[in-house]
Order: sequence, then structure tokens, then C-alpha cells
Amino acid sequence: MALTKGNEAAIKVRDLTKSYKSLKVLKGISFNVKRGSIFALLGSNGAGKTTAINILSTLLIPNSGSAEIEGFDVVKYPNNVRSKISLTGQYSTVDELLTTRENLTMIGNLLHLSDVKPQVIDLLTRFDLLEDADRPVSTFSGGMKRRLDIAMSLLGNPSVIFLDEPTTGLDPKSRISTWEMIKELASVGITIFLTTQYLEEAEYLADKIAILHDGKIVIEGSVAEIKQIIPTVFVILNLNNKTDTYKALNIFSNKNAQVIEGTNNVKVESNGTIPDISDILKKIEMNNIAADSFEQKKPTLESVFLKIVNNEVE
Amino acid sequence: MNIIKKFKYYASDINVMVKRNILHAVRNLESLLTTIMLPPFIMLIFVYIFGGVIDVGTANYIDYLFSGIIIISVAFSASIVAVGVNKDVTTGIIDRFRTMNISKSAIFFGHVFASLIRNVISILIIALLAFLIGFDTSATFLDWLLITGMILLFIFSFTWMFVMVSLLAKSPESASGFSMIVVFTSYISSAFVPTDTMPAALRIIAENQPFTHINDTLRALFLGNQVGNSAILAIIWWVVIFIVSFIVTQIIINSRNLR
Ligand SMILES: Nc1ncnc2c1ncn2[C@@H]1O[C@H](COP(=O)(O)OP(=O)(O)OP(=O)(O)O)[C@@H](O)[C@H]1O
Ligand SMILES: [Mg+2]
Repeated sequence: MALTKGNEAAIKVRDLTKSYKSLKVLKGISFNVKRGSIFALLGSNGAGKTTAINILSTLLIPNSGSAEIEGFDVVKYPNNVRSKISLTGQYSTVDELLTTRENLTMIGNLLHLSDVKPQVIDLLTRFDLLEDADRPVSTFSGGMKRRLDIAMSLLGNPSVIFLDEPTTGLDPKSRISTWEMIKELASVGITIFLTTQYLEEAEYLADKIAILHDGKIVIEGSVAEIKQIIPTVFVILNLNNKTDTYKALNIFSNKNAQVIEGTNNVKVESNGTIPDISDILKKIEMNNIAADSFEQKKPTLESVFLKIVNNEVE
Repeated sequence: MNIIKKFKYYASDINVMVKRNILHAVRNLESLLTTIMLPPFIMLIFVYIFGGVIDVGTANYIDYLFSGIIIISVAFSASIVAVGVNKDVTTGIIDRFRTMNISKSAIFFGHVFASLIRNVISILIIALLAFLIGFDTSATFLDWLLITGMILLFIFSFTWMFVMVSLLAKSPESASGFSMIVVFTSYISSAFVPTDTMPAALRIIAENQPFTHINDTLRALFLGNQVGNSAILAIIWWVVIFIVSFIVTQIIINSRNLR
């Protein structure tokens, strides 16, 4: 229960397991999250992201393993953990019948803050909610609700914030403003643990990414480390004839080139950087391949898992 | 010192939650008005439509009916609590509260005290109307104190029972469905008619259930009759119901396994 300071881990997780009846959701996951960093737990639907967040935020008890937040065990000292954290759940954790101001004031009062009013006004301003401060939340768009939800999580100066899929269901504009907000929080030293289904979101936001698949963390590392292992984009070359297809497969065999079934087109892995893509295009020209056009595709999480699992088999 | 501070925090948390529920009630004006207006209507219907044919042994049917209407009124208003509590626990807001270092029972005290306020208002309306249509009572000042205490106890623990049930219900629909069952159970009592006119099986239920005990107590006090055993039975029933409901509620909300 020692107090930890400085650069140590704000979250320590060891061999955590959790089953619902016979369904094994977490099969032993371990990781550390550095204080003041953004950690993204990436996984597709049903991977167990919410289950992990619920255990870390004291809503659920794990079957085995341990988890510590700021040095406090989540099972043994839930109240100490609770005074360090706040949770923005996957489904909105705001009171829909209250107004923005009432929601913030309610949480501030429950935290027994001495200066609720100024803090609420400050948050309303920072989160661009001042104009809608006295409207019931039920009339809000998804993006505004999310903003309020995150603002509510900031009251009481938590040192660790959990965000469960903070941008799912948001339009591109609100997604970007939510991203900016999250970056800002981390810049003032708050540790952020978020979950997401989007590789690009994890890449953009996180200092460290862990991918949860089939109950295990299949890969963990910094964005740079992850990028070395998984393709960030596929470049699709739209080709006209079998000869060109064959040539392309040969030239790009080191980039895992594959024919897209039923067409002459070829799919090539790339890290998505301009030098890498221009290298691909140059090689096409040099080898006199008649490509009509090319397009970039983001890999799906499933294809990333496949790639990782295949790599492990090799 | 520490205990005093804890108590202060607890009181302040309950206060926050009561305010929250009052705001909910005000923003749900329709359902508030229906639960408040329904019992007076029922009272008028019984007095003017059935009253002529129901023979209860008092000069005025309203004198007999009044205590029953209070019981029904409380039973009706429980549906607001049922839906409110169930909404809290089936939406995300409960997760935010549960991850905060606060006493979780404050959330439910909020619902219960807001329900107390609602019920007192609607009982005052019923009483006013009853006096207008000829309700006559021989209750003394002391009787009135007892009546008030019994009614408050009844509302308080009845609402806690609903909090418990709504926590267990899977959806707001099933929570409010249960409240209908309880409303009907309250009919199988001495609320509207004397139990000795009922068939034997029903009569045994009607004579031994907590609605009848509280109703008999209130009626005896209003009519100036001997209260007898019913008061003590009513107190035991409703105190036990409160204790069980409170404990079960605490267990459910603090459990980290029941999800
Ligand atoms: N209370 C529960 N009882 C039984 N099974 C559950 C329960 N909660 C979750 N599950 C199951 O556990 C698995 C993991 O669920 P979880 O909600 O943690 O996934 P997730 O990664 O958050 O998914 P999503 O992206 O859809 O939110 C799913 O198969 C889900 O159906
Ligand atoms: Mg989830």
C-alpha cells in the first residue's frame, strides 16, 4: 500500500482473469500504465474491454490475478481506488433529466468539493458547454453528451480516468474534438486508460497500445513498436491483366502482396508513410506495370489479429 | 469527530439525491400529476358510485373509506419509484455513482424521501377533498400525531420495499408491472370493504396482510374506535419490511459479482 511517486506505474495489472459462468472473457492479462500517459486497450466487439475497465474501476471482482491503481489493490481497497479515479462508461454516465449545470453540480456536491460553483463554471467554459448549461441533457447530441460525461469525470481532480469507447457513435467532428480533449487531459498529468475498437484512434492518442483478442493481450507496445509489427494500411493496386498481377506479386513479395480474389488487383502492405508509398509507386513505374489507379485501405482489427496470430505461428 | 464528519457527508449526499429526485419529478410532470390525481378520483368514484350500495356500518361511506384511500394513494405512487430506481440501475449513471467514494444508500434515500414528499402532498389533497365531501373524524390531537407517524412509517418502508424490487427487476416495464401487482394486493384488504364479506380463502389473506393492519389502525384512529392489536402488528410488519429491504438493497448495490 506504499504511496508511489514519480514515474512509476499508475496502473499495474497481473494475470487478471474473469469469466461469466462458463464464458472465459479475460484469460490472464498483464500490463502497466505509466503515470500521466495514455493507454489504449484495443479490441473488437465482445473482446472484454468493458469487463477489464469494470474490474479496474471497482465495479467487478476478478476471478484471479491482481490490479493496483496508484498502489491500491482494487479488490482490497475499493474506496481508496475510488477516490483516485473516475469513470466515463461506454453508455452515457450522465443524468438525462438534469441540465448540464445540474449534472456537474450534483457530482461536485457528492465529492464534497468546497468550491463547486467556480469549478462547474470553469468546466462549462473549457468544454464549450456554457451556452447549453441550462438545457436538459436529454435534448443533447451524442457528442455534447460525451463532452459533459468527460467533464463530469474531471471534478475532484482524479489522477486516473477511465474512458470506455469515448468516441464510438460520434461524428468525425466530435470525434476529433474529443481526441483533443483527451490529449489535453494527459498533458496536465492525468493518467488515461481508454478502450477503443479503432486502430487509428489508438495510434493517434495512445502512448502505449495493448490489443485484446480472445481473452489475451496479443501485442503490447508503443505506437512505433506496434507499427513495425502490423501493417497500418493496405495499398490496393488496380491492375488490368494477369501479367501485371504476376509481376506485382513478385516485386512486392516482401510486403505480403496478395491477389484480391476475382480480380487482377493486388493488395500490398505498407506502413502508410509517404516514402513507403512513393517507393511502391516508383517500383510500379520502373517495372512497366500498367496500373490504372491505387487506393489505400485501413486494415480491419480482424486482419491485424490474423497477421499477429500468423506471425506467432511462423 | 470522524464520525460526525461522516454523518455530515452522508446527510449532504442524501440531500443532493433528494434534490435530484425532486428535479426528476418536476420534469416528469405528467406522471407526477397522474399519480397525485388518481387517488382523489378513485375516492370520488367509490363514494358516489359504489358508496350507495356498500354497507359498512358507518354513517358515511367516506368515513370508512378514507384510510383505505390513503393506502391506495401510497401504493399508486410507488410506480414512480419503481421506474426511477430501475432507470438508475439500468443506465450508466449508477456506474458513475458506484465508482465514487460515496455511500450508495444515499442514492436510494433520495428516491425514498422524494417519494415521502410526493405522498404527503397527495394525501393532503385527498384529506382536503374528503373534508369537503363530508368526512367526519373524532380523532384527538394525540390521535393525529399517531396517524401522522403511522402514515410516514408506512410510506417510508413501503417505498424501500419498492426500491429493493426495482433493483432486482430487469427493466422499467417489469418494475412497474410489479407495482401493479402490489396495487392489486392492497385491494385484497380491509381498504374498501369489510373483510368478513369476502370468501374464506381471500379473507384469510386479507386479514393477515400488512396493508390491512396499517389500514385498520388508521381507520380506528379516525373513527375513534379501539385500535387493538392492529397498531402493533402494523408497526412490526412495516419495520421488518424496511429492515429487510434496506439490507437487501445494500447487498445488491455493493456487490461486485452480481452483474
Ligand atoms: N454480465 C455478463 N454476463 C454474461 N456475459 C457477459 C456479461 N457482461 C459481458 N458478457 C460477455 O462477455 C464478453 C465480453 O464483454 P465486454 O462487454 O467486456 O466486451 P467489450 O470488449 O466491451 O465489447 P463492446 O465493444 O461490444 O463493448 C461478451 O461476450 C459479453 O457478451
Ligand atoms: Mg464494451
